[in-house]
Amino acid sequence: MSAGKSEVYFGSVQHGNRGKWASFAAKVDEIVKKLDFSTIEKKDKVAVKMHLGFGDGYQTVPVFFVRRIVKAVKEAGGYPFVTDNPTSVYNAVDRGYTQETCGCPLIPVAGVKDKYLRKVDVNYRNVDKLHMGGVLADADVLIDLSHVKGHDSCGFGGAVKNIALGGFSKDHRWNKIHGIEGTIPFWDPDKCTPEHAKKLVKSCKDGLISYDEEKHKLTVSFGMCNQCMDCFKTDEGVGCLKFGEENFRLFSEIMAIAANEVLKTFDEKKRFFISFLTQITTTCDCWGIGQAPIVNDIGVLGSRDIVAIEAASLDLIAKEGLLVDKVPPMSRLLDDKTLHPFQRVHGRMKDPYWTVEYSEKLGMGSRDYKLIEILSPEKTMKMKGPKTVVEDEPTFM
Amino acid sequence: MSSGPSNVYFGSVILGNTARWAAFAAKVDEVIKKLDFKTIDKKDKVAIKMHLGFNDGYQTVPVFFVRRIVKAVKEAGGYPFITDNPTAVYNAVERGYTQETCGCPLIPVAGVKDGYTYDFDVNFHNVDTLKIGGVMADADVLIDLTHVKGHNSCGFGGAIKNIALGGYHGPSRWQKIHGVEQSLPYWDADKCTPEHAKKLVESCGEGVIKYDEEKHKLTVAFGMCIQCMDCIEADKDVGCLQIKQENFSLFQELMAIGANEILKTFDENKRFFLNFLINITPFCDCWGMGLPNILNDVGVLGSRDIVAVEQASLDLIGKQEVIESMVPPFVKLHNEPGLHPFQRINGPLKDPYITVDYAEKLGMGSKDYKLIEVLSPKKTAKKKGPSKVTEPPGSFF
Repeated sequence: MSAGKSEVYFGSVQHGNRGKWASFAAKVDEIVKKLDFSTIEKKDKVAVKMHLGFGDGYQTVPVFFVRRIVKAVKEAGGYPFVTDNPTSVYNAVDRGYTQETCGCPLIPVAGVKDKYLRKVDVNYRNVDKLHMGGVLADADVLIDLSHVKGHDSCGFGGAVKNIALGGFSKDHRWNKIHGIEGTIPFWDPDKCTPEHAKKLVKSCKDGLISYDEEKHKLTVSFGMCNQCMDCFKTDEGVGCLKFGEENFRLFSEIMAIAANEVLKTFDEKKRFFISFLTQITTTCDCWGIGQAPIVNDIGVLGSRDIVAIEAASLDLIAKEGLLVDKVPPMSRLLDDKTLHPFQRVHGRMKDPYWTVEYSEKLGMGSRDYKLIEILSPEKTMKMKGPKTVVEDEPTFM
Repeated sequence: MSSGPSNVYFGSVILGNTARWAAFAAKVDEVIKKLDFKTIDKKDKVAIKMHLGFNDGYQTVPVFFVRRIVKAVKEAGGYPFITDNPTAVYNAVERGYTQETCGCPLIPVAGVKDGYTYDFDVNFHNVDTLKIGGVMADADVLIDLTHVKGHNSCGFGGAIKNIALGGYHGPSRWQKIHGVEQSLPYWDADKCTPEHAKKLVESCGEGVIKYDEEKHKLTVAFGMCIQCMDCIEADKDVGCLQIKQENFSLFQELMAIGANEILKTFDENKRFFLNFLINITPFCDCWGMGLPNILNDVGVLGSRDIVAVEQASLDLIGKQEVIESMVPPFVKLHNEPGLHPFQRINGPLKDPYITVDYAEKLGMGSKDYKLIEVLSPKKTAKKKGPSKVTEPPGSFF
């Protein structure tokens, strides 16, 4: 990364003028322009990595913006394609993504059966290798196009998570990356009787503790745990259960490591990050359900620095604050207003900044950023607006 | 209409359970089920009238839901098609609407050049006839699929406006319906000198007052007037200008009349109304730009009674407060107590209920409704949720 602050371009959903040129779509175009696709070379294969959604969810980045980004890539001479896991690519039409609507093909990230993979050495705790999607690894240019929202495992999903989870095979995504939290011992089998273990299972209202009596083995699903600590209360006097920040940090850290491996396959000039802070839901699009937004729409961010864009996204969300009455009743909302909105819904040990800090430590970018707002409402409201805004006669004729 | 309150089915965006069967898409399906498409006959041509958007706007009803409605119509034996004005149909692909994504053809409401229309006599003030889109008039079944949002002419756009404006050919829409506001005198030419007229033009911060000196004619574009009353202040000592309720009401009344004529072309058992109260912007999709959401998402409403569904939509929105931070800075928010959120945006004389009241007077339905919530968070919160919510490893395999 170059010295000095990293630039993060920001377009707000708020606009100061009735002119089309001051509205959100114009801002998305302007940010694409500022990102400067001129470092894309002719015939470069450009992977537009996004989450195409799952099941009954619909709040992914609208195809309306995807096709504009695709168009800009084509104008720069690149050969764009949209990529994601095979299930999402196969069902992308449900959310309106097709070759015709996007303007380019949709190609699964690791072949139709997740078998086209590139092994990368990780050597982090119990994870030796991870299998990266071969299509992503083959691409010349990365456009990491993210829908920013909350996430139950790590507080939030943004640009890091989009490539860290979305860029790897299903087995590694679900078993290795999501299995990492348990690699720091959190339960002492010698201190625990089967009876006590069953009591612990019952103590968890979210059903996250399971116990295999035959093997005398107790497991905690950290991903869904919001740290109510009811299990600890039940365990008072026995003290066989012990977990904390260090367990939860692991997922955030391996996420940064995996994202870094993806980034390494691209030249530094050929990495672009665009994050949409709209439809900011409690949990990830991988839940496959529509959810009420819990933070007002903010806008779009663009940067060439993944760490900077993530830090800026989280800062803007913290500034906007939580829509408390939109938090689903199944979330256990924390009252502490000094916490980040995503911590208030997922627990204080799911600090969304952890992955950003760790990414910086790995040299992926800088948290020291300069936010450059384009077409700001304050500026555009001083400019002359159009007389009419609506279609005053059929423009198709 | 049958006696007793009309049923309005409601699905909230708030979820009480992490399961897919409790999520928003499931509620949309459930509302459709309650609407009961059994009254659609085999081979009926089913017009799904929606606004497919314009230019740089993207906040129309997501194709994700459109294709589910289309599917339900097909299962009932109907032949669905989507219809809207020719410009919107031609550019629908930009927002992801195509035959492939919707599951049915997209057909312009009055042919490709707005030339296929039927006249009907209106005789309302200065409007003698209006031209209904021929494709709409030909259809056997109406599904009035609406994105509910604010509107600068009439406070809000809902199910009535979707067919009342969207169901007619261009010139009827833009000249006759939008021109009706001028038909009641509001300016006294004899009392006003050219100099005073120019002062009035200058007094309007919105640029809504125009004066033609040659013809000595002053006009107020009521559609964009926010009733700040600065012109009345400037006119204090002369008294040639009136900004009164009647002029504003005309548009809403004619809207109800226009919608009623369309309804009359359908059997009472073959009219269905679906209102999406999500992405609630201050102004209409016809502005052709993304706009900030000034109210939290509410959910989806379905009814067979157009008056009831509109009344319920406004009531649910009226329960909420405007999110002031999301209101564009060029909007002068009205703060008088007792105003509906849409009146706070578009002015007290643009009471959104006027069109609903008038529609009831015309016998189009009943404001007396029974709101029946489907899959309410309260109920689903008590049911057992799934132990896992995310994609089980590679569900495409």
